[in-house]
Amino acid sequence: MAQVIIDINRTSGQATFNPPTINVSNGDQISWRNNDTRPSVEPLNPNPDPQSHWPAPVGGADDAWFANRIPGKPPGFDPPMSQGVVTFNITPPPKGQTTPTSQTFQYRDATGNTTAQGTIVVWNPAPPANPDSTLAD
Amino acid sequence: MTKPNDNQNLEATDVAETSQQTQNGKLEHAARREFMIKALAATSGVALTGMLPSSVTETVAQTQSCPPTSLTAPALQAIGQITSQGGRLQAIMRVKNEARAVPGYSQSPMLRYFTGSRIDGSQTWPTRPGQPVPGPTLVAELGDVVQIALLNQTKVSDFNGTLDVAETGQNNGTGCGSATQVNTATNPASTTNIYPGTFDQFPNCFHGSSTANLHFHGTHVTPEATGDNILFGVRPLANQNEQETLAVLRAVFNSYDPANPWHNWSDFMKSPAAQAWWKMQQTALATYDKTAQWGSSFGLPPAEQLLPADTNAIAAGEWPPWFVGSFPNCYKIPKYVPNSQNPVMGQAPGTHWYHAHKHGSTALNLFNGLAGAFIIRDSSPTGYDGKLRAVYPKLKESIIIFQEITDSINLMGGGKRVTLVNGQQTPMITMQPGEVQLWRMLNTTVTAALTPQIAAATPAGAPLAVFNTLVQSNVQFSCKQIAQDGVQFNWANVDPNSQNGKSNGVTPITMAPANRVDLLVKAPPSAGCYQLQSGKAVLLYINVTGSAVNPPMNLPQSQNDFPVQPGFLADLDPDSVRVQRVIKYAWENGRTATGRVNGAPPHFTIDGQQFNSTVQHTMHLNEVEMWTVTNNSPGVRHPFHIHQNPFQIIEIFDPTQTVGPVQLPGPWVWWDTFAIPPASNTMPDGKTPRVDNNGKQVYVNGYFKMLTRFADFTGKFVNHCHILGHEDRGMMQLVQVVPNALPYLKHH
Repeated sequence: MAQVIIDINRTSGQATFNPPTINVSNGDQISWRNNDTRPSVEPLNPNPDPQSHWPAPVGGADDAWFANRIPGKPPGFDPPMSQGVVTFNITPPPKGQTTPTSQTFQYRDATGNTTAQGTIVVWNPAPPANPDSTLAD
Repeated sequence: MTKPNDNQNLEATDVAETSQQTQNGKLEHAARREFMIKALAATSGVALTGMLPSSVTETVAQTQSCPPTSLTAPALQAIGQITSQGGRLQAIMRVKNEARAVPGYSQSPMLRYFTGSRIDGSQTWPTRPGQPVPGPTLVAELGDVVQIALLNQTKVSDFNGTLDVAETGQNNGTGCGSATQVNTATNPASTTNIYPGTFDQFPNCFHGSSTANLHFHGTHVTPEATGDNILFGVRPLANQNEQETLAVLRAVFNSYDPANPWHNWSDFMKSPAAQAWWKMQQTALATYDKTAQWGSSFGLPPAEQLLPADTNAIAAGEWPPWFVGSFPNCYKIPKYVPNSQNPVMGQAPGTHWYHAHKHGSTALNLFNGLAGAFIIRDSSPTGYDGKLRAVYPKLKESIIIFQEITDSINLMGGGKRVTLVNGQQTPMITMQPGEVQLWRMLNTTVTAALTPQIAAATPAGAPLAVFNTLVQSNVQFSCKQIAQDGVQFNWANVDPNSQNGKSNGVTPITMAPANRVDLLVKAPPSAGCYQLQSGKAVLLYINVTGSAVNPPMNLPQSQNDFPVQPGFLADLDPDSVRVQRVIKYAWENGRTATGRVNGAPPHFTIDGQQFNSTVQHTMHLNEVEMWTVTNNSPGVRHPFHIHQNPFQIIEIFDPTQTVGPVQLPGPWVWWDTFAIPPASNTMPDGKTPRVDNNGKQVYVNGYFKMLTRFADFTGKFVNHCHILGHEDRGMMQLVQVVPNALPYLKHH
């Protein structure tokens, strides 16, 4: 299990995920960090906040992974983190098969940047999140 | 599990010491051996192996290189020390984070850690970046003033999944760290909130993992104000003006008068320097309230702001619950004066420790490594350290810190959990043949009950059975426990000619999380390679090499070889008890195992409640009380720890080990942490059911009975389970000591 951070960057135009494709194992804890400092587009607001972003699965609800958007990075502040992590628990390989199974998930930016997408490739076998040995025993 | 008798190296004379069982099944006045076995058994959730004399033959030990071929073992590194000067231990202790090279991790995990130095910047530790070492070892003398400038400089943006910028109201109102799991067992894939789910509720959940404070575990000092007070949190401020902050904190320290210590916020605010620091804090708190992340934007709603919470607490006469970036820990270590009642008890010199203790993040912070040793010495000629130095002028001393490291967010499991020794994996101690060394062992792990024992070093993968066979043979190593939890033994518990002392050193030692053990260890008379192991896990190697030590060294043989136990550590008098309490550590009635039942893990409580801000027990200053601490959890030995005052265990009932309770012989050992025996529905044979009056099989609770004196200090503090995930999730209780204004009439 590892902690994995995906950065959300935007220097001009569309936001991007870095890395755009990431390989993780079952049980890895994934979060997103918003480095976007550019003001959001709010025509009626003369002082808009930096652009927030909201990772969500393609085809899923905006709040499927996180209850809130990740706010943008104000000048002089550390980049905000997603307040929570996402883990994957994919089906293990068939009995007797020694090669790992992988599964690909597309995610999107649910803040309206519809073309901003990233990919998570999840591999199994790997230490799955095992609730029975958890919560510090 | 190894049974006690498997590893007893019983001599013929010891057989006669076996305690007698009365007709009602009650074991009375067990001999020392019985006491050690039964009592120490209760500190473990794992095994009953112990620091047995190595029973390995010389032949086996000498035929191997050290460590065994193909293995590596770096020399045990000494942890850097910060020592007191001129009666003051003044230090800067920073909480920072970095990627650390943890053995067993393919990539260096991001971990929080302590880095410290003297207040002038000298004696900095750690000296190298990226190593998973404990915090610096603090070293003070009895009577010293301790002044630690705590700076929390954790960079929250390097972490995920836990809440540090704002707690209550986040993540769908739970205030807890959170995790969502994507499960492909359904089509389409479903998402489930696996933490906190519906089973944990703020504040008894994992949260705020970069918020810190300091607990000085084992100290007998004030829990009030800037003392050993864990009832506040210091939020991280990575970009603080450190020079300016430290200048103000130094001024606060200079304004501290140990003869007139601060008891509360009002006292503290009489110091102009403290006022200046608070002014800085007010600015920082106000900025925090305006800028902290809240949902999708910044700025906390009024009900969640920290500065108003502090202001309200101050108005109510309480200590503020929140600070940002810094805190001045400051208190005096009381030194006992014979025939004086001030202090009544004094600090026991010995092996203590410090760690982060913010409710909700204690477990994860210790899993990251936020802990270190705190050695409090009595170097006077008759004191613990002074006398040992006089008896053993060349005594080598090793401080051996066991830690569990993991970076698992919200402790959801599945990650690597590595046990390190002084930040190393299986390091090596070197001894001369016949040499006596002092090992100060500290179990600072979050969950692991350690059962240290010395065995012949075996190649990796060698079955333990080899050791178990050998353990019955020749005795080569010898050792003598001389202190428990930083409190030295009475000579009667060391004396090889007494019943208690005779068994000491050949009986099992089990260290629950937070326990410390001081051992005098004597190497065999000739070279060899050995290992200190717990269960099947090798903790470190012992290379006995070189020429025999000269002049010869021996373990203590008479009282003249051993420091006299200070008078305040004499046995408490049960007849002086006027208040008895029963403290119930429990999970849900009917639950019989850990893990999740219908998706929910155990709900941990004390006296039926999870941790909250209500004082559950009020004790009178300097009164001796008798507490019976019970446990209804089968298979789990919750390590009971109470802050501020050590206690003596006088009776123990472990239904997995004895039919009835065991009354322990004096002099009683002092502890500050003791694993409560588990509940069981069978007799010790594991088969015969325990039944009620109707013949129905029932669980009976394990318990221990203790005497303790709430000496010298008033104030609020806590008792809690030292499996720290249990503590974070509710198994902690607020208690207080108040002035004894209402004298009792003593009854018999």
